[in-house]
Amino acid sequence: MSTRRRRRRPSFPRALLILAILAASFYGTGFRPDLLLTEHAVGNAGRFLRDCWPPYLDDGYALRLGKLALDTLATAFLGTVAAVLIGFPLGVFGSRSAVFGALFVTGEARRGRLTKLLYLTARGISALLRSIPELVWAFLFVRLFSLGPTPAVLGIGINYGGMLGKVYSEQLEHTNPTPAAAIEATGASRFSAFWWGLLPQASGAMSAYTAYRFECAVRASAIMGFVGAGGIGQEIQLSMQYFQFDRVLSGVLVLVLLVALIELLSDAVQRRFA
Amino acid sequence: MIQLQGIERRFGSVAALRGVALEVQEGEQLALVGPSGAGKTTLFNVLNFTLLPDAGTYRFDGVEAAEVQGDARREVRRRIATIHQSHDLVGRLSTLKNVLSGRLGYWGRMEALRNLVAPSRAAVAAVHGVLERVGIAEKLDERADRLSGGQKQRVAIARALFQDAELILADEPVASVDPARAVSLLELLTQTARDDGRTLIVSLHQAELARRFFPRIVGLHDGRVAFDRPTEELSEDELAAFFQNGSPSPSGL
Repeated sequence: MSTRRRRRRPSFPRALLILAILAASFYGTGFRPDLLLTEHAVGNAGRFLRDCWPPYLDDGYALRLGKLALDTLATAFLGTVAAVLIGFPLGVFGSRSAVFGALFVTGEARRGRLTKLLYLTARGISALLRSIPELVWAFLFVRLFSLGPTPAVLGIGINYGGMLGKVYSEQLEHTNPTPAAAIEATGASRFSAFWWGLLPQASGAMSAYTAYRFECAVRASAIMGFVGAGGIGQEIQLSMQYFQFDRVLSGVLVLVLLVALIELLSDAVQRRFA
Repeated sequence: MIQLQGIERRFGSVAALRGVALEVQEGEQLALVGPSGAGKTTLFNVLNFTLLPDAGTYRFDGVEAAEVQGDARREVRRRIATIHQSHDLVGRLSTLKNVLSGRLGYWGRMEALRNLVAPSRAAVAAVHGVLERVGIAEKLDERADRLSGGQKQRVAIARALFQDAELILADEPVASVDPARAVSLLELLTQTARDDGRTLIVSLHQAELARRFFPRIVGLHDGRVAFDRPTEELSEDELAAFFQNGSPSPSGL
């Protein structure tokens, strides 16, 4: 580590390199910030803002938005539960301290080849699942089933399952493995040593991270509404299509409220377990 | 009960044990003395079936270490309780759960999970009894990482007692406590082992405590047994010489 630090390149060529990448990105993508200030854009923005206000909150519509927000929340919750069901076994079998048990502590070379295969398979699956974004998964599932919350739940469950698998395995590996080895020394199985010796050390951090992922799932679930997963996201998208900008604003306000509430909740959970 | 012959164990290029031979009878109590790095912890790890020796044979009650695996190995291991030098308690679990974990070798998967979530009343009462014996019954529900060093030591002893093993190995059980506490802990260990008819091997690096509490002392130096004698045949000078130059004879021969 220290040798790498000493071999740091001088900062001037590095700054040039970053500038070159920046320039290439500008021309490559055709990104034009100056478009923001054209008469056309400013005029559109003005009309949009005028039409937004006041937000449309007819009694019936507010209630409808509330129900849709609950749909979004439920989709996120189901997705997170699916993610935990997928991620927990991946995390356990993807952590050396769990699969090798006391062998991990004593450094014994008699590690079973089968155990190693299990470990590598779990790592590989969780890398594959998380490398494809939830939105892409959802699109794939829309092709298989139909529109609705199912593709969204599966998309969140699979992508987040891969993420949880990776993070859980790291959290399990960052525990002290000697208490579990001490439990194995009493004649307990590796199964018991895991539940009694390893998991209790990591469960707080695992719960906190899961709460954070649920928070992300709420946002993701709203976004997937735009592609037909239902809920508040779909409502915003439809109002947008029909140029009912006052309804768009109401929807966005409800979404902001929902996300803020979930963030508060998730922060509380994370503080509790930190 | 214990038969060790020509035990060798290396860690990479370091030889931790070089030809250790030792016999211990059932119900015996002995102190294992020697400086840090003499091989005491490695010897304990061989004795409790954590490490296999590279060479030599180890038999526990007729069971040869190199020949048992799986369930048979687990069945032997639950007859041997180890009090580890660093206690090795699970910090986020309560004292109750830590002591309970001593019995995990006897439980199947479902029972292990059930007791983790909701221990039976009988089990809690039994743990309470053991904690009273070591004098910290009031810490039953305290998380282990909130205990002091001396309290953790007592919980580690309670876990070993709760395991109900025939052999108790205690690795430096008084290294982390003050001298007065050290005496009371050794009294507790030797007395309970005697009452319950258990074999006890305690590693120490304090010569005077070994002489005071144990009828037999084995000196380990540089991975070898330097001496193995009844305490009454070992003078204070010889023990002091051992700690100075690794041999009980003044000349070092």
